[in-house]
Amino acid sequence: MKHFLKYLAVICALTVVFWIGAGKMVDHGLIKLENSRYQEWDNIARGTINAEVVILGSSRGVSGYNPQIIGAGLNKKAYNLSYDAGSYALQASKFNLYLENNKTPELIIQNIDFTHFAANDSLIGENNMLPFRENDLFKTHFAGYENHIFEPWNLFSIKYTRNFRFIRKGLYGYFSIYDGHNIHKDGFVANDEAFKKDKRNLVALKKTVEARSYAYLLRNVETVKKSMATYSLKSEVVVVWAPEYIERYALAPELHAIISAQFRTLASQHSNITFIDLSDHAMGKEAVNFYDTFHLNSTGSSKFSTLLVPYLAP
Amino acid sequence: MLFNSLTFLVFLPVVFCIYWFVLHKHLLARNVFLLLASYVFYGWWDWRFLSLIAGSTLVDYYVARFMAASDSQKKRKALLVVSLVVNLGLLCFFKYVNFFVDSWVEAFSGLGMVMHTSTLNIILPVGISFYTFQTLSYTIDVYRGNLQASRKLIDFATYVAFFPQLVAGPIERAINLLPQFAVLKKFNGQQAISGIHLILWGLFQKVVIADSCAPYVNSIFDNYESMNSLSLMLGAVYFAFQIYGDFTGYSNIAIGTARLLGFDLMRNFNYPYFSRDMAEFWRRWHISLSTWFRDYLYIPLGGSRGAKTMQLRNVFIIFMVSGFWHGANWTFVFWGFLHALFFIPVLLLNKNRSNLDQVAEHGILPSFKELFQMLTTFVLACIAWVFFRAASFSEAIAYFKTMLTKPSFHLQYLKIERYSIEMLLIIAIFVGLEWAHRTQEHPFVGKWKWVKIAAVILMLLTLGVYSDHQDFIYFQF
Repeated sequence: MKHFLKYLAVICALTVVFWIGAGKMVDHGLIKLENSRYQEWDNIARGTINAEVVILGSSRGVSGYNPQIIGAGLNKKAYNLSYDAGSYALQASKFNLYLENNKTPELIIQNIDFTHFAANDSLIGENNMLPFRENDLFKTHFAGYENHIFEPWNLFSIKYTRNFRFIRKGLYGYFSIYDGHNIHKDGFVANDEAFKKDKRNLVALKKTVEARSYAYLLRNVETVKKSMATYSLKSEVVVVWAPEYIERYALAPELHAIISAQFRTLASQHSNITFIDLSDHAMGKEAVNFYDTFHLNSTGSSKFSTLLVPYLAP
Repeated sequence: MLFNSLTFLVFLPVVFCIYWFVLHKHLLARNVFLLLASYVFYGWWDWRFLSLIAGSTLVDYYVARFMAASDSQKKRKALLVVSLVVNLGLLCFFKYVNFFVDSWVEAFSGLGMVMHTSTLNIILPVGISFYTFQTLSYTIDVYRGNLQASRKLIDFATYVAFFPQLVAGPIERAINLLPQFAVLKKFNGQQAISGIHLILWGLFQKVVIADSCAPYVNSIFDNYESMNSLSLMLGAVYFAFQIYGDFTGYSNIAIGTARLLGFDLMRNFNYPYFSRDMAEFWRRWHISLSTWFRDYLYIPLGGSRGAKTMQLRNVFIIFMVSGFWHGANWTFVFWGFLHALFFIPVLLLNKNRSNLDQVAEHGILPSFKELFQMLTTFVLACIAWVFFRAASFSEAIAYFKTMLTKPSFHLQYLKIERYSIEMLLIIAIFVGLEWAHRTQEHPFVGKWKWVKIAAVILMLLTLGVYSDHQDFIYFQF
């Protein structure tokens, strides 16, 4: 029996060592991946970004605001902290994590648009947080979302099992082998895809407008306004409505008028808040600036970022 | 309770410790404990169906006792009929009633007659086909005089419900397993270590191979109309490895678990995909079921004796019944029919016992002839597996039709699932490991044993499926 128990103990020990070791190796490898979202989360948590200008938004923020152009134009360090596909609440959680560990920025640029105010309780892009699942800092900011990565039972599973993608990426990162799938630069992702109409989302917006069922959006506008007011206590806040593709803009002129009026009023009440409405800018009439009916492409984002700089300059 | 669940991870060590450390001096107490543990294991799924096992146990125990006490052949035969009627009756009720009702309705509607019936909402008790066959083998062996009727109800009840093999086999013969409950076992370290090896290997086969293939199989079979030839071929191959990994994995865990408790169960798989013909395949696939059918159906029907027409009839009967045993669906029956068709040429050429040894037993690689034979057998098995996996007969036909009419061979499916290249690589590693150890029970032997153990543990941790673990396919049978 002793021999058997020793044998079993070796197998258990191997399992535990591999369990912890493999997990740590992949964690470490993912974080090491240059310009990856894993590394971005790590930089945020370790407080190594410390930008003077921070850009907030969702996917439109990610692809629309080039921090290198904006930073160069303002002669300041700029970083695009937008949260791809993230709701305004998720953007706020990411920014709060940032604020807790980095210097408070001098200038905050907040992108808004029609869908910015739609609420969503799910933790989008949770897999990017896998290396930080055991990190209390992340639990504090993100455990409240509808997700499962921070749930206690998950401690008993192995987070990278069956996730070949993560294991492969993690190993590439660990052994410093280039992985071409990580392409953000200071949080910004340039997109060169050919333009395509995103009909499903256009139809969804059209339905919302036709049914005039946007009361909940307006409630959320109030929440976002409160956040802006809070941010403005320590930083300059510029709320920007970036150029909308003409078809999308034309769908909801009334809704646009209501929301922009709210932010104009907000700006008039707070000296540290500015509202810049470029939603119907001429750029929006040319499909060449977009990769779909929502998002600016790399050409559009360069034009728009250059266009924005004079508005931001003191 | 599933072998690949956290519950079992707690259950097994508890049973092991109580069995070896607390009850090491009391045979009766041990058997009672094993019986209770087995009922807990089964009841974890649905405790109500424990009554079926208990009922079947009591019937067969007393039938065998009365049989043993009787000198009258007529009475013994009548008692055997009682056992057959009760066991097969329960099996038919729970497994086949709705199938028969539906088939009747379809048959009549084919003749233009409309029948209004409603099917019953019957839950199929897990493992009923397995323990029914196990108890039947007991009464038949007692009837034939091959086995003495057990005098100890607890021993017999534990034999029927023994948790490692209760729900998905191996279908043990009483002649092998029952006497093992009559001995107060002493712990055998080597036996237990081999048990751990089998559990480890079985887990790998289940959670890495079978469960990783499952999403590809589901996706391909669910969307077969939009798939091209290559994808559909891959679908069949993935399923071949899914079902093999699933079932051989279960069997290995079952045999390994039994060894931890000092019991030896029969081997259920012997590298069937390295078979050179269909006869050899069936000597290596689900051995406990094939030998059951051989001993209790094929041989009583006449087996390979008599005229060729009788032999052919017997082959078709045994394969189609085997298909029907798997499930109440014509797809399973046709799967059996196809295997009979594939078996016939071997039988007609009197080659059904020509490959009794292990392929390339004394070499490293097979000859071209052997490779060709193995690939042919594997392809035939895959063709049959499509019927086994398809939801209906017409779906299986449509699957093949799409495969033949969309002769495109680009990596359509692999493009969607970027990491399926790794899946094919894992299958290749698995086949390589099995090939290299085809004369052993598992690969954990030789001087690289610990390297292989470590690699398998690492793959279990990184590639296994746990959070959304899947049932074993053979539970449904």
